[in-house]
Amino acid sequence: VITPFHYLALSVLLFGIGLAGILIRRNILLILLSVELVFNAANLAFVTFSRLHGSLDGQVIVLLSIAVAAAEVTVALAITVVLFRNFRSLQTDPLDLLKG
Amino acid sequence: MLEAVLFYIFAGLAVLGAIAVVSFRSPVRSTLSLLVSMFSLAVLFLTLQATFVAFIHIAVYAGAVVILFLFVIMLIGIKEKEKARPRPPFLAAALLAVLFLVFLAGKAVLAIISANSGSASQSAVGSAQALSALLFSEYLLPFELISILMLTAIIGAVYLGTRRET
Repeated sequence: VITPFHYLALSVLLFGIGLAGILIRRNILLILLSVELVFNAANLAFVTFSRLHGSLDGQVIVLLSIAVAAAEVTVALAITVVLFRNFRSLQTDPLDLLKG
Repeated sequence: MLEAVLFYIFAGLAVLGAIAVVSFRSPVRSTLSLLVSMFSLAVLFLTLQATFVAFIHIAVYAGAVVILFLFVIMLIGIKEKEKARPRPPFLAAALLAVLFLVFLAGKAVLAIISANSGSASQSAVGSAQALSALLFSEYLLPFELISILMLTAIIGAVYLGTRRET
């Protein structure tokens, strides 16, 4: 029998994988893809809790969160294109302009 | 029974896709792995009876986000690969931090589950009708704010994207 615990365990697992990706990768695009994984782990947790409590509020939050994620991706990719124009690279290592 | 089979197949696919996203060095392969993971998650949303969310999820992620990523990769050039391997101590610290966080989250999930185990879950089907009734009454203000956020994001992206002659 599949309980909500299974879904939440999957959500935690996906969150961990996404967070590891954010910390380990050096390519901006790969970091952004890992951020998407983290977003979706959170969405899965929201839908699971919506089912657990028998209310639809969690699913409405997921709809709003998907919209926010789409807006975030738009701006982040625009910034990526600008960074590539200025640095000719997608690596995060040369990006230390704000380092004191 | 069917739910169990679907869950194990698509949870496995989602995890495999996620691992592939963070382990491939080529951005194109990572993006396509993200698509696998997103599709599996949409099936899991269906088994959780969140039908509308599942279809919106496919439409937004497969239809918009992954395509946007591919566009940017094509724009920048797919030759760009990750060169420097992360230094081993950094890698170990990152994995340790993630493991600790997963441990904490697992404890929290267990606490929540044991606190909620008494209440039987009623069935709430997330149809488009039910969700929109909620979205346009109780969540009207966040909904409108989201549209303002989207507009801001579009303007910001266009501003960042235009090449300025200076």
